[in-house]
Amino acid sequence: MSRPRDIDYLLEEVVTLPSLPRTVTHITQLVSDPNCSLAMVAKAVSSDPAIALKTLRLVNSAFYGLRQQVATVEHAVVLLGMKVIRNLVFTATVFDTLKSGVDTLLKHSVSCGVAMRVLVERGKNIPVEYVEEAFIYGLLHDIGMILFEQFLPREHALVSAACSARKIPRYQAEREIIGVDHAMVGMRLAHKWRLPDNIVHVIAGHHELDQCANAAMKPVSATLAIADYVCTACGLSSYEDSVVRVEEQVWESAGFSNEEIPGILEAFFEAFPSIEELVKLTL
Amino acid sequence: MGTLSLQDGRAANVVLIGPRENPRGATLVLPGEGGGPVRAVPLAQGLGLLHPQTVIDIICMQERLYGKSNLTPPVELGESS
Repeated sequence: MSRPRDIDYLLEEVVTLPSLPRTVTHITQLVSDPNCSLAMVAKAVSSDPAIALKTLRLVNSAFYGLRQQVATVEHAVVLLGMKVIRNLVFTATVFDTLKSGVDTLLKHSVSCGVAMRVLVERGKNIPVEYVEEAFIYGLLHDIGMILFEQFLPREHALVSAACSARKIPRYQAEREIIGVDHAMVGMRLAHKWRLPDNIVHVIAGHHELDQCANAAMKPVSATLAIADYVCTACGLSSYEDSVVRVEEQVWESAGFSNEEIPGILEAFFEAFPSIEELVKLTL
Repeated sequence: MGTLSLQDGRAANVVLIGPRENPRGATLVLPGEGGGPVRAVPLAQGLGLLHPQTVIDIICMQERLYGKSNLTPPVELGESS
């Protein structure tokens, strides 16, 4: 029988949080520096040819829908801005870094990113500046699950079995069997990677809004919970037999009306071709 | 056909017979008022009676069954949770 663990014990003794490539860390630091220029970011991305190439492929994907082909990182940075390029660099590297072999989880994460963008664009309770980060919230929200799978494979299997047998949400089974859930571990990993605080808070609160420490980010976290639900309802769940429950306060915080939902889902379904392309480009 | 709960707690049914483009592709079968006959209304006209989660369930199920998105059809009806 596995023993529930304290998160600090888990992260010190069991799980080794992986590091992001140095280039990515450097770009993250640059973008958070108010004195940073577009040219500095372009130079940093270009310094790693593999990351630069993957980033350019993402820039030219159907998801971004640019009318012109972008051939250089410099052009991409000017066109999309520093934050979007930073997020593209995360997208290009994070699943490589985590060495995830779970195709369904990657597809779920990418789908959630696409659903998030559709939802955030239409969310009345979400400031417009979060639109450009919407995809990355969805992409990264379940990174904690990958760590469980890698470092606690036996407990991870027990979690899956408990979810199937008892029809309970995965985070609930994780708390019972491992002692912490993937949202908390994902939050700690995002913090270690020095991702922007917004991302850290949104990952923490995507199953329980109270876990989101920044009140201003709660509507975004709530919207992520709904994106997660939409993907599961579409059969694009992180694991087979996934059960996602959305609390009442999530619907209230996100603020979508029933009349808006058909239009939102229509836009999500229309974006489906970009999901397959992004999954290929993300690996 | 599947059973669902309305926001006011009453039970109703939903019948999926075609894609979203068809206004009657998803039809709600609502209990009659004051013991009257049941009413069938297109989903679009009954949205206000449903919980948002139920609206998502119905439309996503409809897309999985009849849509063009190449989503995997459910193994059994009513699977999405």
